[in-house]
Order: sequence, then C-alpha cells, then structure tokens
Amino acid sequence: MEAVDPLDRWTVHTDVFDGPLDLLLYLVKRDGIDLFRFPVARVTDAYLETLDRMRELHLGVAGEYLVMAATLVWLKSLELLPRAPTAVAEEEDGVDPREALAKRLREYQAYREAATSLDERVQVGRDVFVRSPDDLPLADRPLVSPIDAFGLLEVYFGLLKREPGDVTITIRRRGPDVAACARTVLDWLDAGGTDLGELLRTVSDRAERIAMFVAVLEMARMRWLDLRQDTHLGPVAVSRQPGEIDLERLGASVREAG
Amino acid sequence: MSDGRIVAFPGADGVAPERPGAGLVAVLEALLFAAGEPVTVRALAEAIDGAKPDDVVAGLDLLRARLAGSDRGLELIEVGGGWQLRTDPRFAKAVLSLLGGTPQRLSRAALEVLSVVAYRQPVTRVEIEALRGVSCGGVLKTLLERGLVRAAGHRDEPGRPLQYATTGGFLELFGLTDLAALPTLADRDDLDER
Repeated sequence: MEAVDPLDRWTVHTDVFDGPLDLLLYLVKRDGIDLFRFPVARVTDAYLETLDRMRELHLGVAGEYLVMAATLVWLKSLELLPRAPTAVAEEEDGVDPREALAKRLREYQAYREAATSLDERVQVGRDVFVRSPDDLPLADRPLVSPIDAFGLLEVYFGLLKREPGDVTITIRRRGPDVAACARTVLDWLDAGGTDLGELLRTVSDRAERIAMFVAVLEMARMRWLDLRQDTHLGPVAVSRQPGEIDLERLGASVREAG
Repeated sequence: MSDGRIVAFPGADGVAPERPGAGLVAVLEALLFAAGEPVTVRALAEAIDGAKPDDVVAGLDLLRARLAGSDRGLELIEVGGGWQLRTDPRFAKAVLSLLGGTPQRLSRAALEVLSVVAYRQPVTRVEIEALRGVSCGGVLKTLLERGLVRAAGHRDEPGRPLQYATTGGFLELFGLTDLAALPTLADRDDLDER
C-alpha cells in the first residue's frame, strides 16, 4: 500500500497570521528590522519564503497575501533596476512607494500597540465584575403568559399566504429596507395600532410584509417593543417600550448580519 | 425615614448627624449597588431628596475613600461619565470560580479593530480594513453585538458607507472616564519626528 503523506491526511487550517501586514510585522520583529530603514529586498525574500512554507504546511494562503507578495516583488524590482531617481520619485504622487509601505506598517504597528495596551487594562468580566441591574417589571404591565412561539409562527404563515384580489407585480432593484419598515411600524404604533396581524395586513407585498415582520422581531429583540399574547394562538399585541429608539443601530445590526 | 422617603442626611448608619454627608454615603452606596451600571451624578442627585450635585460628588469621594480600605471587596470608580461599583481586581479568581464562568476575552483581531475605531472614530469599515490589510466584517459584527461599537451615521461620500464609533459599553469595559482618557496613540506623525 502506498504511503500517504500525513500532511495530506491531516490538513490543519489555522489562521497563523491575521493578514499580510500581520505577517510582515512578524518578520520585521523576528529579523530586527528598523521600520525607518526598510530593506525591501530582504523583507521580500523573507515574506516569499514564509508563504512557501505556509503552502508546504497546507495552510491556506489567501488572496490578500498574494497581492502583498506582488507589491513587494515590484518594490524589490525598483531597487534592483538602475536608479532613475526621477522616475521613482514620480510614482504615486511623488511618494516613494517603499516609504509608503513602511509608513503603512508603522501605522498598523501603532494600532497594534494600542490594542495591547487596551488588553492590559483592567477589564469588566475578566478582572472586575459588576452587577447587572434588576429587571424590574414595569408598573403598568399586566401579568400574562410569555409569548407563544407558535403564535408568532401563525402570524408568519399568515403573511406568506397570498391574498386574494388584485395581483400587482412590482419589480424593484433592491429588497425592502428593514430600517424603513421599522419606521413604518413606529408610525403605526403612534397612530394607535396594536394588533401585529392587522399591521402586516396593511402591506400587500409579500417581501415587504416579511421585512415588516423582521423589523418587529428585531425591535423586540432590542427591547424597544413589547410583544404580548394573552391567549394561546391568540392575536399578538405590539406596544412600545419606554426608552430611546435608535433606528441607525437597527439598520447596522441587520446589515452586518446580512 | 418614617414617611418612607429617601432623605439625604438622616444619619442612618449610626453616625452622628452632625458629621455632614454620613447618611448620604450610605444612600449612594445603596443606589450604586442597585443600579449596577455607571450612574451619573445628576441621576444620583435626582433620586435623593434634597441632595445637590455638589453634595453627591463629595459623598462619592467619601465612599470611594472608604471602599479603598484593604478590608473591602468593592471599588468605586468613575467610568463612562458616571460612577460604578465593581469588585476588587484582587478577587477576580474567586468571583470567576463562584460564577463558574470563564473570563471574557476579546480576540487580538477584535482588540485591533476596536483600537482603530476608538482612535479614528467615526470610521468606515473600508478604512479599518485598509489599515489592517484584512477583512473585518465578522469582527465588527461581534463588536456591534457586544455593544462595544455602534453605527454612527453615514459618511457623506459615494456609496454613503456606514461609520462606526465606540459606545459607553466600550468605556465601561476598559474603565475609561471618556475617550480623552485613552493613551496617546504612537501614530506615524510622532514616529516621523524621530
């Protein structure tokens, strides 16, 4: 039986380096390189050698590492070619591209040091502990059973159902905006609306109805809205919780998730 | 206290009423314990009948000095524009063992992204990625969910990208009074002067 290279059988994928700049800074530190006299040729050789070794170890070498490799080889070629100072000086608006890279590394190093000094600070949840405030029930909130997951599911199925009547086909460039729907929900609440089913029936478009539903759930998750169901499989009542509503935050959380 | 109201200077903790602020310190301790989160001087003053913000500041200083004694397990610190009671770092191991949890740690990538946001805010995702040379969508999402970073409006440029800034939760996590309390960044301008 043919021997199988153990590396082929046990491929380990770890992110040894957090991107090409991280790798470059590692090499700079390892070889004691001064970031103010950046020896491009030496750094390039070390960088390419490390990439080769990473490939040998079957570590994923992502595209951004290759982009940096190409940049370094180009910078090295500038150094090897007979000097045409004017030509080099004219690269990238008169900035020496080698100095630009060294500067980028120095800048990245500054933020890494900042990250280290943040980590060295006394931290809540690691070094010190705080109480979480008691979740006092609001005085006017009736004692009811917590919301039923099936109740929400019923509402969801309800809105997937095609409404009989006029069929309108809308072609849009983008999907409905959850943050915009959230604003509509808040307006509807201000106008005295309470029943979730009723809210969703105000929208005829299926995608928009789903977006509206997501907006309600998202705002409930942020504790801006309260969802209440007094009877099993009964109607779901929506009400506004006291406190500030930051739709900007809602938009961000939905966007980052999508 | 027979009428059930909080009175600022009742001399409640057995200290003679003529010692000013003695009862106030006790009330402040109770309020800060109940709140958990950092509480502003104004909110404290509003909760206590007859207390002026100046009295509250003096009371907080007194409480802080008392808790600084080595026989106390709590600390009072000024953080994120308010005041907060915390456990003494000396007892971190015992607290963790009691709660049965592992200490919360941020990954190096998360700390780096957080640093860039802290020093450069408001900053866009593209700017963070340009600085670190690596994508950071997942890390940003984690930081948003942990409430350490928030969206801070759109940049007025093509594509209207979202901008990010740090939150009060960030200040609380690292025990910072405000952003000015961050150590100076050894940025390129300083380095270039070498």
